[in-house]
Amino acid sequence: MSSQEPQAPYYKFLGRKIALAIAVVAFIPYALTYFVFYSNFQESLRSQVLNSLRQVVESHSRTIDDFLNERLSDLRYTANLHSVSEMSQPAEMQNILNSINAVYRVYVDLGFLNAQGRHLAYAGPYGLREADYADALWFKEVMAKGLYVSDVFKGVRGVPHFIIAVKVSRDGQNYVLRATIDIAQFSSLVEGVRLGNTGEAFILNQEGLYQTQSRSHGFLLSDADLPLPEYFTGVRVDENIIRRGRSVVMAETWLKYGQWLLICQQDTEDALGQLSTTLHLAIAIGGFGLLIVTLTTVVFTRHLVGRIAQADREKELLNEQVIQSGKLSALGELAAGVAHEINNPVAIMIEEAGWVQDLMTDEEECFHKSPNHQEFERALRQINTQGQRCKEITHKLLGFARRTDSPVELTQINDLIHEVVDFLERPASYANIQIVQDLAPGLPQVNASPSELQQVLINLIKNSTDAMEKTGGTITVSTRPAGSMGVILSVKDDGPGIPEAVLPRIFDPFFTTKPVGQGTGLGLSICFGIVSKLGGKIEVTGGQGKGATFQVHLPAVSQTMLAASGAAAKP
Amino acid sequence: MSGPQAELTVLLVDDEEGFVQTLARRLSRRGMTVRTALSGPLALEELERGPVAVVVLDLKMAGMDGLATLKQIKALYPRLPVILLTGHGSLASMQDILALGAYDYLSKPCDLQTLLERIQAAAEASPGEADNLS
Repeated sequence: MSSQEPQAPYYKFLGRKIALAIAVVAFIPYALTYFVFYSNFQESLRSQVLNSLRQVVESHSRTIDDFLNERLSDLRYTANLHSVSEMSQPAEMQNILNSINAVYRVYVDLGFLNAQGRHLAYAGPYGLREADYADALWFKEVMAKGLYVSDVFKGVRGVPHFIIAVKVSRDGQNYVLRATIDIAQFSSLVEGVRLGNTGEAFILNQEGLYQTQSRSHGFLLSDADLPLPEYFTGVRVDENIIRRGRSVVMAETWLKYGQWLLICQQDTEDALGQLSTTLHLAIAIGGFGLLIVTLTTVVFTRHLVGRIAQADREKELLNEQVIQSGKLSALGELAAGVAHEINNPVAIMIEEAGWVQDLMTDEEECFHKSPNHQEFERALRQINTQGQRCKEITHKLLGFARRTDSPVELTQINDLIHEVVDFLERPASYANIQIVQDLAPGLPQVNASPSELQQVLINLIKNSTDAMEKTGGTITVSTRPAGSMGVILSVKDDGPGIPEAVLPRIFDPFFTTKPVGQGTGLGLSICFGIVSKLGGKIEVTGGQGKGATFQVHLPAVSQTMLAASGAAAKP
Repeated sequence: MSGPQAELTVLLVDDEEGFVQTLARRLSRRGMTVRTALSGPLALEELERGPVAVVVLDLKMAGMDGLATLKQIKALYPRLPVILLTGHGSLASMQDILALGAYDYLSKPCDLQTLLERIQAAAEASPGEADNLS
């Protein structure tokens, strides 16, 4: 019934195209911007995490190297400070141990050995006075290289420890000053490292044995089960290392000239946890943005398509009005031509009748004698009367025609109604329909195009006559003043009425209850469009069996307009 | 049938021969001297032949129409009164017709008495001053 329904797929298609276009235009820059920022941000955060790991390893590497160098310096200094005989005295050795432990209590024991690997003096808790180190690897190393830092080992005591030793040469004789380092003190240098929940540092020797304890992976001197890299300088950082089934990030560096490997590692999930949280937040923000863009696109598209559909409907209605107006204009031209063609023969006919009348006057006596002279005169009068009637009809027709393109002007609506009703009452009477006028005098003028207002009135009356075509009845056209609203024009009929269900759609374009081919469904919508354009409104009341009443409210002309009109009319 | 109009010479211009002849007879019967022309050019020729007091001119004619003829007449004889007869064959404004110099207009079919009165009025409006009166 409605014009919109058949076109719904078109507007759906249009909506999809617009939405797609908006989405493409909005999404592509958004997605590009988002992913550029996302990837940069991700890389920045990842670098930050890995750099912090690198810095921990670097700083602890320096600390450990410093610690070992300081210990070796301690021994060298001690050896230089004391004579062989002093260092060969157990009591003096105890004094020396106490002295070097005064600041840092890192030395467990201190021994002074001869070139044969036998203690000349020993100070410490272990009974190593008689120990023979002649075949000990460390002893051979220190004798060969001058200094030695051992790995952590259990040694003859069966307790994990590590030693440092320096060779002392005096008077052509070689000696060795050896100290055991407190493993707990040393371990605290790396075991205190805490990164997040899982981050830790530990040291491995070249055999892959823990030189310090790992909180999560192994005890001292247990096998770390890690493939050790070739020697390298500096710090190396690796990601996504799978260690014992867990992904870790790891920074490592070689210490002690490649003998120890300092490793700082943290579970990837823990290390990049903040990154992960931040990225999840970024993804959530991105998703929210997409949602907003999508919602905006949908809402905007619906609004836009709605407006387009409305504009199309208005355009369609306007087109129909233009067509209708064109038809009326063409009808006007046609009527003008017809009027001329009819008026000329009618004029001749009347003149001829007049001429006969003249002749009869000349021959009055002769005609008076004729028994039919009165019938001659009646016939001539009738010719004249009907000729004048033809003239009136054609003049009315021309009155309509002339107004088809009339502009908006001050219009007295009652005069207009007289003309329209005069024109329509005869055809209506053929269907036993009587048109009654109930017009209030002294109505204000309205500012309207007479032809358009005429069209409104014709459409409304025609609507009623169509409804009462078979039954006949009365159409009452009335006017009354409506205060500030101006004038109310009412067309009421006592026909079958309009069903309640139909009333809300009665002014929709193409809505008709007439059989196919008998109504365009445009008449009332054109009325609606014209009245709306004039700033008025049109209403319909009445239900099934109650007749129908159309009320047209037209605004009165303002005093300003009247004054302007009056001024313009003055010469 | 004699009267003031008895002295008047009227030129009837219309391409409907039957109308012109009948109306001419009726006006002659009422004492007027009536000359006729069936087109605009013939009307101009007729005016050259002799003086006319009033021209009654049909608006819609084949060839040179009433408006064109009116313009020619007013160009040649500005003071000659012209009454236009129209069958409302055109939507042209009557105000425009009057603006072109027509003295008056009547719509067809017109009442003879009304036509006589308008002719008389037109003749009295410019007595003896029509351009082609000798």
